[in-house]
Amino acid sequence: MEERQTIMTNIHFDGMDWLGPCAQEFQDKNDIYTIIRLQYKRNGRVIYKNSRLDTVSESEMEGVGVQLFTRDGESVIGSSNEVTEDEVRALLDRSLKVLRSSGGQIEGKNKEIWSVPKFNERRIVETPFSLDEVGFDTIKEKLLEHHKVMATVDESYEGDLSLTSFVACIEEEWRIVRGDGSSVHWNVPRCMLFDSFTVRRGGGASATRANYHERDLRVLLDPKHLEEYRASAYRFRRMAYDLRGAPRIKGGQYKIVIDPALAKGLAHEAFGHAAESDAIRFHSILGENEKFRAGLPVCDEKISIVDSSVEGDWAYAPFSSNGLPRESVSIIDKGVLKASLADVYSAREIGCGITGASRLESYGDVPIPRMSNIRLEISDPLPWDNPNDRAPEKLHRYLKDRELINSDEEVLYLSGYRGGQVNPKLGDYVFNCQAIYKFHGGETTLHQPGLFSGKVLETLESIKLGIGPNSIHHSGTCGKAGQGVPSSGGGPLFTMIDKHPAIHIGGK
Amino acid sequence: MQSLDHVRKTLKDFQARDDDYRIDQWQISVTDSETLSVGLKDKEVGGVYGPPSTRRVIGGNIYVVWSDGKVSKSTVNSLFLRHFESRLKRLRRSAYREEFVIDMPEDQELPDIQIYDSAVNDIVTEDSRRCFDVLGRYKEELSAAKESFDGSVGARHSYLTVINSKGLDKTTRSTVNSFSVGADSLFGAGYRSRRRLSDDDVLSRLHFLNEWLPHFQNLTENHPGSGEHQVVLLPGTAASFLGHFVLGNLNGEAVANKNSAWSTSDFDGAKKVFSDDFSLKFDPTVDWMARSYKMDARGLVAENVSYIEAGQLTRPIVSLKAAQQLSCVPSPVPSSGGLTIESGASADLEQFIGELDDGIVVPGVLGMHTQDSARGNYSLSVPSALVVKSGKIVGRCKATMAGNFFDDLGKSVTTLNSKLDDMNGLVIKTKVSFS
Repeated sequence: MEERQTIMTNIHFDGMDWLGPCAQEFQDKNDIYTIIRLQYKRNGRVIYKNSRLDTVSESEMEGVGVQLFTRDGESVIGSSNEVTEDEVRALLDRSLKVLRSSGGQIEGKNKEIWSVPKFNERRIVETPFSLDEVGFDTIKEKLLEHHKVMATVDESYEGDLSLTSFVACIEEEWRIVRGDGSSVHWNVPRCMLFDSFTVRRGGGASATRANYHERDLRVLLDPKHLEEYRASAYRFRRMAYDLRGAPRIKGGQYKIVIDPALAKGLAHEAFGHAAESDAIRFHSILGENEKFRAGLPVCDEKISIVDSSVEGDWAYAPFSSNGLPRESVSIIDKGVLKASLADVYSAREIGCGITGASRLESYGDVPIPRMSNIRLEISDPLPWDNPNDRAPEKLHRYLKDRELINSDEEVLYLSGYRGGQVNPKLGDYVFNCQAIYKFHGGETTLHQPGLFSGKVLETLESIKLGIGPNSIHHSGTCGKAGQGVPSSGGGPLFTMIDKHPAIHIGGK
Repeated sequence: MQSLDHVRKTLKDFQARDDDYRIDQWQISVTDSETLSVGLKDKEVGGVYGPPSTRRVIGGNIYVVWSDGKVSKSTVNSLFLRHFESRLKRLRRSAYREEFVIDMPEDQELPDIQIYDSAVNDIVTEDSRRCFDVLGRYKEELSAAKESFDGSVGARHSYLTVINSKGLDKTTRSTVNSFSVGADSLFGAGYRSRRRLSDDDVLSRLHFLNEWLPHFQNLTENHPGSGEHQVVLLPGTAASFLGHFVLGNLNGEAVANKNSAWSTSDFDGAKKVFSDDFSLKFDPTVDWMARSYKMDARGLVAENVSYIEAGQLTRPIVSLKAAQQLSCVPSPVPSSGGLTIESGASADLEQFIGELDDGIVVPGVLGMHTQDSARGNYSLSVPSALVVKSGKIVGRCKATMAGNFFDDLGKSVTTLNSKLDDMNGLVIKTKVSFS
């Protein structure tokens, strides 16, 4: 039985000369368009909780998914987590049997795949600081060092801190072949360092978190990046302590400033999902009469929203799950709705070009249009001297000095992203922050987080300006149709949004 | 079913070794499942975003205690099992000193609970037409959906095997048949059962959907004004609240690591955290319910448990590790949709609404996963709140609800029964503001 060298190299699907011919033979013999998707994933994890080593684990998986299309456009998906030549061939046969036994009951037919051009590319990201190179002993040592630094506080920190620090090192690889002779092969290495802070005092608790990612374990080993991360993590740690006694904001409409992680949340929830091509016909505010509303002016011309795959990024996805190149997409270009995140199956019916936007969480899933790295871009942002110094008090002074706010008005600065959600059909979205700072009467006061909710198009109209350079590697996981994929993005260091009746901050 | 004979033999061989790879204790669980599903998208059966799908997955977990006392753990799958000996050796490199080594369960007799239906197995292996038949019924029944509806039907059969060095070696077989449907991106229904879905299982819920969909199609400004109101959480929303704010804080490892709203002394002292008449239970021993099982992947047999009794904390949700951390016995791990709520007052959903002067019905919220579960505070958007006036639903509007769920459960609540779900809905009183 074949034993692939999964330890000595991080490329799992090299060789396998039988794979392409298998797809081509099956397609030719049965006149069935054939796509075979292989996925490999290895995950190493170390977790410290309150100075105790909680977990060390290493796991790996592989699997194969096949998708078959008749000439009439009926399709089926089959999958197995045994990647051997015999099993792949058996899976193709099983899947074809299900397709044939559907007996004409499949109504949704899509023939677009038959027109897609052939495409071949192999793209491998090198990772000098991989799990195999570094080893668990070094990871444990370095993570414990970091954990102790984060756990050390002075007497100004009142409360009982529970700290969790973990490193996750993921090596993911995809190989997709089609029966027309196409083949794409790429890897997505990524590592994350994550800290969560829970502070208990006076019978209650409050929690915040911080994280950053790199392509490999330099996330723990590169002193310069680690120091930059800690500067941010210290702020969230302090926030967890101070939130214990902080009041809740009064719910309502405000002028708002958001940080780049929240700008990512805004771009992702408010616009990204609504721009995915499978939603446009019936489920999106950006569709009308089943077509994408390209050409619609939606906001000021200084605003653009761009989605693209960035090498080394958490959500790196250079090819689609149908084996096509993923393109950079200007969803909004200088204030005008321009392009959808469109996959091969829905691009034409909504009047858009294919942008290679489909992704999968797992080999057996249905490919659907997804974002990669999505960011808010505002032209001519105001300058900010030091991106590593983003103290709320400094921001408050900056805004007052430039007369962007006055002392009478209550302005809220929202910091730290906690996730969001959208209903693209209604155009309603929400996201949450980790804390709110209120700027009023010369004072900066910390408040409990509150839900930012709004309507898609009204929020776009209300974006006023950006401050500082773009920061675009704020990561998370995007959930859609039961599939979770890595997501990423950002925006300017600070983005100001005018008060609007359709934008609401939740509170007491 | 995947044979595990080579696994048993290899693990026993490793127990007899006299080198660094000698194993002292081990436990492995493997689930071998096969699934068939068909989707419905934009009213079309089996399209490219909901095609017929056949899936075979072998997965599980392994936990090893080496002879030097270090522990290794990993997920297992087909790849691991095919190269079992080499993967077992590779596990050694991630071995670490675990302060709380699990106490592996002994062999026990499995309870007699009905969780396998050969008719569901047949759908998966021989007859996919049943899935198409059910989807066809959606289309006939959902006349009230003006624009679009999506859904899916699925059938799964599984074998779960748990074996360990204490002699536990059990396999259980189970099935699940499920359906779900969402209409106009506004409202949905679904059901899961261990046995083949009956026409009534599907039709009763589709009829409910048909009766309620017109409410969502009328926008109204005739709402009661911002303030404190009776809020009816439909079963899925109630499950979402309970899952996020209560189950998350009942997690035993979170309690042990001080990440929970409640501490070990709170449980030891049976602290009163909710109203006297509120209890939260989980019963996985009922025949045919989707939540039911005979044995879970940890090798523990199903038992009926109470997590909160008369408002007091009784026990956390205890994993094998948390059992060591907290010096107590492990407990079943509930799903939020499988909980039973008991309260001082219960009513039929539609009867309750019929007697309500003013209030809202919440079919779903946006943003639950973003809330800080340790504090219990929530601030949630309700994009499609249904307004109730003088016992009638008058239409839909957008609302925000804000409060503290611990405080809400600290007051008497009413549980609601309906044809929509086996799980209860819930009535709370909280602050609502309207846009």
